[in-house]
Amino acid sequence: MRLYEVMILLPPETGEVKVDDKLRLVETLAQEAGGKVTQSDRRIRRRTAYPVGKHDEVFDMSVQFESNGSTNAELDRRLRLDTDVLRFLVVRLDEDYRYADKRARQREEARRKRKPKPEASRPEGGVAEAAAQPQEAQS
Amino acid sequence: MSARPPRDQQEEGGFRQRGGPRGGGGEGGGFRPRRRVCWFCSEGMDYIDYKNADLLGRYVQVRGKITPSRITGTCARHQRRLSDAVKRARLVAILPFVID
Repeated sequence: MRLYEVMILLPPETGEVKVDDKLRLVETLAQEAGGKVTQSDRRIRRRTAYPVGKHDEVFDMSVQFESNGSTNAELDRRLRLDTDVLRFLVVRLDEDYRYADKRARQREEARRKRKPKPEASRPEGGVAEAAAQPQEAQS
Repeated sequence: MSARPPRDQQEEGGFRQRGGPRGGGGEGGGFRPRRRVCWFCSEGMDYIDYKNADLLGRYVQVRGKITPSRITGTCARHQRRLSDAVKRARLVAILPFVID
């Protein structure tokens, strides 16, 4: 199963009903493709960096969903035909997340391998510390 | 002496690191720029979110261009991901294509 995210830009005056409609559309198509919505984020009105459909402000929502990708063309078609939708962007996230996890694991492993070195390079300090410990325990 | 402005107020050369004695120049007085480190590597950030406008804004110039890695010190791997994120952010009007 692949993880996708769709960001939809709607006019600033869009009501809750229409936002729910879009969410339901994504949900339905994700379910048809054997997946589900994992995260939905209704963001507040924001200023755009440039006018989008004569609007300087938009209401944007982003929805993350799992899917095998078979209904993505249909999602694309429906959003393109929808007159409420100013703009939308579908991106695939699972590869990026997997890559980020892999890199984090590699970094953690490298850190673990690096750690023993400083301890081995100062055996005198280690002995002194070991000798000091029992005294501290007594006091 | 004036203090260095915050990064978001800096001009296009804001990332440039000065050379000179403090920058690692030797006795010969030669100019050697200070070694730059990739910010994303040092922070351990491997996924660059296209919705993070504050972060992406630091890597575009005053005209809206993506700052080259030779100026920011970003490694090739992260520069590719960064440029993808900036291009996505431009599509959804989070960042401008061009600032005139």
